[in-house]
Amino acid sequence: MWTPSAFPRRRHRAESDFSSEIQAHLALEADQLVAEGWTPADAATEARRRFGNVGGAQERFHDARHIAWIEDAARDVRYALRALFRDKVYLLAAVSALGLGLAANIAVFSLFAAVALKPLPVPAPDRLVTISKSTPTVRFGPFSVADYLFYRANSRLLASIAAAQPSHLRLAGIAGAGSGTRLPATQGNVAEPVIALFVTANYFDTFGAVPVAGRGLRPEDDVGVGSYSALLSDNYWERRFRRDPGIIGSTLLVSGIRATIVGVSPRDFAGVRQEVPDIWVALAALGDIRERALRETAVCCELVGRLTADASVQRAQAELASLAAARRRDLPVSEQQMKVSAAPAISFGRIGELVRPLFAALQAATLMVLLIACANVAGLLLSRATTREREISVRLAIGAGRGRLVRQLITEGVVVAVLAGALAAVVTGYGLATATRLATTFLSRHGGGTLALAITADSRVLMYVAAISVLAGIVFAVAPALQLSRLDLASAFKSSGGSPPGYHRNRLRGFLLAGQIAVSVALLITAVGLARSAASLLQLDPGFRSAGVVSAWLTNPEEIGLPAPRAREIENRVRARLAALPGVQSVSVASRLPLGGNVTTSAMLPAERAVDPVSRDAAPRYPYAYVSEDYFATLGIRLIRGRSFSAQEVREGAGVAVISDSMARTLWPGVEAIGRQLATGTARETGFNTGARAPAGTVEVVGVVRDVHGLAMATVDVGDVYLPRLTNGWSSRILLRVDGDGSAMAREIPRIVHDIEPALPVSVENMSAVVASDAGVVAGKVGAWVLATIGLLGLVLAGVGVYGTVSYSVRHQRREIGIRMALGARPRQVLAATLRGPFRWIAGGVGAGVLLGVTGIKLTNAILVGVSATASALDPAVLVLVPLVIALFALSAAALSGRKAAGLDPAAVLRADT
Amino acid sequence: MARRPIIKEREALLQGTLDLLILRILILGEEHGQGIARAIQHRSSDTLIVDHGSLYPALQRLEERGWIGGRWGTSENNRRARYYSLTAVGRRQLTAEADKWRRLVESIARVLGPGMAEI
Repeated sequence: MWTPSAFPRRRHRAESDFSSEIQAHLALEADQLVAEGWTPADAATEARRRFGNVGGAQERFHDARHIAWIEDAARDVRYALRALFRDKVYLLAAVSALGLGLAANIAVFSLFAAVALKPLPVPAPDRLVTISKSTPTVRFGPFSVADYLFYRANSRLLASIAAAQPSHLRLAGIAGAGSGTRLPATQGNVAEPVIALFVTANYFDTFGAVPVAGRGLRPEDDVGVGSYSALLSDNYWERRFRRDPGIIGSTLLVSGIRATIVGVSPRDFAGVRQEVPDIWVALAALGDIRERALRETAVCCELVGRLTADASVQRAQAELASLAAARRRDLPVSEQQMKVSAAPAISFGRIGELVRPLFAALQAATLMVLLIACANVAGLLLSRATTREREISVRLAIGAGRGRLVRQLITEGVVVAVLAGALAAVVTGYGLATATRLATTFLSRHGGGTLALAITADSRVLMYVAAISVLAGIVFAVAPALQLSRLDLASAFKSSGGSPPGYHRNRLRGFLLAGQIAVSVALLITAVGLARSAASLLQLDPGFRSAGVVSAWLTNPEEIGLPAPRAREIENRVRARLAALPGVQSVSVASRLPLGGNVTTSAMLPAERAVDPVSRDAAPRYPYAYVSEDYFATLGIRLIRGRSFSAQEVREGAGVAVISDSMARTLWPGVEAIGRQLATGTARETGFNTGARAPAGTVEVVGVVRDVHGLAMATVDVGDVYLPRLTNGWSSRILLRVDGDGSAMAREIPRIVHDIEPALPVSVENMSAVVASDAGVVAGKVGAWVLATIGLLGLVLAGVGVYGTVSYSVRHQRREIGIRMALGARPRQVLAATLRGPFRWIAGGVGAGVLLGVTGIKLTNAILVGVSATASALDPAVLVLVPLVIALFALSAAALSGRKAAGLDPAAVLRADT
Repeated sequence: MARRPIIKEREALLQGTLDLLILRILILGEEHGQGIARAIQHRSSDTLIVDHGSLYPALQRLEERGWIGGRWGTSENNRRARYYSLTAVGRRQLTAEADKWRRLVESIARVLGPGMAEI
């Protein structure tokens, strides 16, 4: 039938055209009736009567039209907006409840999308694998340089393997390309913390990352020559140098290393690290890698490889396993159980792996909150619908189609959902931007780096928001809409309100209510538990006293071109000036700080057991530090037995050591450690960095000090070795114990240093700040905040839900309440009767929530194991207080709406009942 | 509760047959909606009462299909009315539909049998 000739007739008629046709019909009919002998007035009425439902015809004409549904939708939306704005309290409650529920979901999903769904920003990211070494004690550990060269030389399924060694460095100065003039690193000549990744020359090529400016690394960059190549990350280039192209070619002075900037890496390219480093330095800067492979066994490097065109991850994995078996023959006893594995490379490295289960849990929690929000909004809609029954009945009676009515109600739901979605988008957009900014500031303040968390509204997130809000809107609107559309006209007119709807619906609402209270209780218990564990980490005695300790990091004066004698003079004068300051109790020097990162370790065992190179190789490794005589006094580390070092021993770097209590007991169980000889280092080993060469020899134990939490706040170190030496290497620090909190001193130190040598970069840190930025403390705090936010959100929503539920049932029982009051029931009795139902659900919810909360605490403890070993305790106070507060909150919400019932005027209810 | 099913019943009854009747009336010449309704009533000796609620949607439907065309005109007593006329496609359609209808009626009559017609 679709002939072209039929086409011109297929034009759409205006609605007005159609209605004039009907008017014409009525007129013609009336004319005819008059002709048949009717009076004109009767004829008009009769014509209308015979025509039947004018509105219905018009409605059906309308529906038949192709674009009708768009017009309908627009009208529905307009009508919905009008209806919603008439009831502002409802609108506000519904939009904010749903909006917050959505916001929590979107936030978690955006984070998840930004962390776990983000592909590596390089070509063919699925061909990249991370390679890691696991032993019974260390999972996914790094490799030694010798390991790296072995796998690189022998793997045939990996086209290339690159190594990277992350490090916290300090940028002390920048020398211009041509003139060689020295520029201060920053205003005030304060050395800046930077995150560096030392990489092999093939690193960028392995990823396929092309520099956005300048060049990448070349094979010759793997050879140590005295000056090394480096790249800036695009993020750091922008943040620090405002994309100044002139910076390429100049030389950076970073922690004693001179590195020439040859290029800029692509934006957000972080290799497989969680943070984008500020600078990339050729690995050769830490020593020629072939030479390092010969002399050191310490692990240092993370490996990443690119599969050959025909290799799969599984085959590469098998190949690495057989290579590892061959490799074991050359490794010490301690590494005989090591296994090598390959896994697809993902963004954010290990963090990316760890967060997946975490996000799954969070997503479940937020979806639960959203479900609660939907249930609550449905509840609100339902109780509102009850009051609208009259309006709806009238609309039904004057001939509105039921389909239209249902559509209208669903439209209202969707409109609420869209408004809520918009609110949620704004809230999460703002919240996430703030969170990212805080995280970035936090990182740059504590060692540089950029968090490449591009939490932007990408299409996936937007689709998620749209889908979830519309779905939510439909879900919470359908139930009341169906209920209303089933409305029996007659009974609705007889009495609005009527009898309560089926008991099963109340029971469903009750379950929802109990469920949401349970979830809130569980989340809040877990949150409080986490917060308390984070707080207890800060309260915990880490074996040293951080309050009042200020650490100053001085650039080695030789590195900025000052002659050696002048360098010694500067160091001595700075120490003397600082010691003479009023309020300074003690001054000392250390190669590294507790919780300060850049841990140096070495193999240690009692000399009597160090009979051959093999036993030395197999010896467990302990962290060590070079310290001056006042170190223990400055940090408040208590001497248990023996003595500390003398000033002369420190000057000479004498062969003595102070060890920690645990270590003494482990190495010499049941025997006095003092006076014993300790063998340090392996046959062929030096330490990780250039300035603090690892000890290799035998030292005498002269003192035993308390254990400290030097690697992480959560755990006590298995052992610590302190050796006497005045270090002037790039990682040495001056420590001061001062009166008060030290913040005034932190400002004073750079002034004093620059007074002595204006060009010397210096940076100052408060020890309390170092402790506060400990991973366990931060994880606990952040976790507590996130859970508390979701939990509080759930609680607010639960409040809305309880209120809605109670007012719903009160509305339905008005008649009954009115009769009871007329028969003499007192308001208090009415209130009690109203609250009896909700009370049962609240109590059930709280009980279930406590059980869930206990599980939640156990779960978070399992997830945070190692990061935060001080498990969130199952504190009875928390287990009682949190549920109590929530129960009170829920009950007052119930009472608030129940009071309406108690305040009813029975006469008015029974008489009017509208 | 009972409103919707009744409408459905009526529509089912008239669906198809109403279209056929409209086409049949229009073969006599162009006519407006009220005229069509009256003509159907008249020619069926007032047995068939046209539901006007269905008539106009049917006219709309036929026009959309291109079987009839509509234009505004003036009635003999000087009223503006929308006049419908049969198109060539509609004419062919009428023949086909009428044949189909006759066959259907004959078949049903055969099934019912002579005696049954009394019931």
